[in-house]
Amino acid sequence: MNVTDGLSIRAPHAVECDVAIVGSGPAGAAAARQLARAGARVVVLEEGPLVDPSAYGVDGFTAMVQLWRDMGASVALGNPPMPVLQGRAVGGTSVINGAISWRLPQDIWQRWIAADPALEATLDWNSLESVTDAIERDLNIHRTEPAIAGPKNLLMAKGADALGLEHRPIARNVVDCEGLGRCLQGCPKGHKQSMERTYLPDAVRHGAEILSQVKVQSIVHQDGVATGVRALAAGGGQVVVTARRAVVLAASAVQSPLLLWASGIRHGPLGCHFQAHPGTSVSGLFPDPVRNWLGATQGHEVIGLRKEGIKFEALGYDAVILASRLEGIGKAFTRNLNDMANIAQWGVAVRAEMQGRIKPGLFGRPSIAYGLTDTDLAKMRRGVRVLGEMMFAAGAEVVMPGVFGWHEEVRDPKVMARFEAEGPRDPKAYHCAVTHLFGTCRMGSDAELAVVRPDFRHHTVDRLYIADSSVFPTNTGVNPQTSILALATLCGQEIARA
Amino acid sequence: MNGWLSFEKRWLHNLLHALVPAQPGCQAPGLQALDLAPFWLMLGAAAPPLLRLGLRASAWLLTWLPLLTPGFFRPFFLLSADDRDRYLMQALNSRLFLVRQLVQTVKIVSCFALFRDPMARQALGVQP
Repeated sequence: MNVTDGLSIRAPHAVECDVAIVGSGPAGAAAARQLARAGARVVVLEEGPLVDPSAYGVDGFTAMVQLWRDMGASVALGNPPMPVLQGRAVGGTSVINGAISWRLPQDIWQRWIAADPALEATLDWNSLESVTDAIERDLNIHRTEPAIAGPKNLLMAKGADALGLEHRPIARNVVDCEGLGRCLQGCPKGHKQSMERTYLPDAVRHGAEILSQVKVQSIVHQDGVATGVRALAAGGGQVVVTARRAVVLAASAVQSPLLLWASGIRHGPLGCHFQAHPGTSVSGLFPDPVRNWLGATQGHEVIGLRKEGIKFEALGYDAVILASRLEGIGKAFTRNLNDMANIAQWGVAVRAEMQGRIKPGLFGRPSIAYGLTDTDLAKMRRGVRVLGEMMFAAGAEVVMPGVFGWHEEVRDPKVMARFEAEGPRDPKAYHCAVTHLFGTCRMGSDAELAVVRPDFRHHTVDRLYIADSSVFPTNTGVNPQTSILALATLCGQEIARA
Repeated sequence: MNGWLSFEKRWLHNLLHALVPAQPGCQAPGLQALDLAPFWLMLGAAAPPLLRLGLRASAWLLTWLPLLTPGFFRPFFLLSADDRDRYLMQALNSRLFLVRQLVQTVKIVSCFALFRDPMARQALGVQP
């Protein structure tokens, strides 16, 4: 794929196009592809680099430096403080996610439409379904095969079966996956159908231009009309993109509102209603080797409690993350590393009711305020309890809930069963991380309550569209990549029609 | 790490070496046995401001806090190997969230350093 690297742009650089798209993750890629196929001259600007898969680091640290925003150390300040995980590369978070693909659940869609029936004009169910069908074909989305699942995924199936919880292999966007367990470090063999391997090359084939390592600083607008963007290339050159038809923000629910802020476009509840899926993990020591870092990175899920806002997934990353969650420190920690091969790590993600906010912080960085409500914490406790019980049911000898102030190691399922009632009420006792970010440029028909209209257009600035998950009215309770692709495709169709 | 004074680097190294010490019967080599220079170069270039701040705060606080802690009353660098181990375990289980977090930050960084080393990975049975 031909990409212009911003490192080579050392002098002022002007580009003219029909549509300028900020961000090359799933939202930007889907909108770019849709518009390029419709004949528009598209320019995509991406802050991160294009990294060749052969250069992806095998260890988690190198991958985080190469591909993750702030090395995965952006933090939402709240109770508890939690890392906010996002990618920063051509392809966005699709490069470093677990390839998990979920259709937008109909119950979530129904809530959106019930809250604002005007949304149905753009987001009608049949259109969403039809667009999603096409995405599933394009990205070869299919359920994880047992042959490449590996023990951590198969054990989860066994545990869920024993507890009578609904579960299934995860549907993922991969081709010929070998179960290397490296989705979150970037697939070194290109099996994951992330955006830099699929929709972006297709957009380029249809005439789109991609600029990497170019950070957009502001949206240019005059008399209520967006006309382009100003950006700074990694090489030091100022980049000015003039867009004749539209500017599309697809920079994520954190970066898109910041860009609007920086551009003086502060209409509506900008940066408010920030929602996400906070989660935590539980580890279990099994009698036989699990090698949690091998097998399909995230190949199995338990969905029996999804309607309660609780979802379980097998987790996989380089062994460094598993190791950092082992109990103890010093000599005890070094001893515990001996057991690492026999430890499985599973996660619980919560559809949290918490609504935080994003606003500009110091030195141009985001200030993210987000925590857990009592209800969210109750879901987390329930999730940890069920995960622990599933681990025992799958054959674990010891479960490590990883919650401060409670048993470090549990050897009796009856003790684990008490966690929901006895577990700490202090959110700071839990090691949580935040993924799947929504809602900061919410979509809606009421200009006072929303940032963009139901057709993705900004309420007050013409020719400005937002295509990423910041427009989602709420969180979804499931992995959002496919929903983001679907909505961004619809956004592209709207712009093409406009 | 850019901008760190030499004694701050020593303090941080002391902490890291105590976090993952070499031990008989353990697969993991101690961090002291590894060349961490390339790791520090990479971390120095990539770490976001909050992580830099956290690491520096960890180096200062965990070095000097034992001076005020009953049973130790010395800075970290004057503690014996056994006392360093005992102190870090106590700090990891501190009732103060900030202290726990600072220990956790250094623990994660020590894991990054350990698992970046191909020989350490091989010793631990992880693909090099």
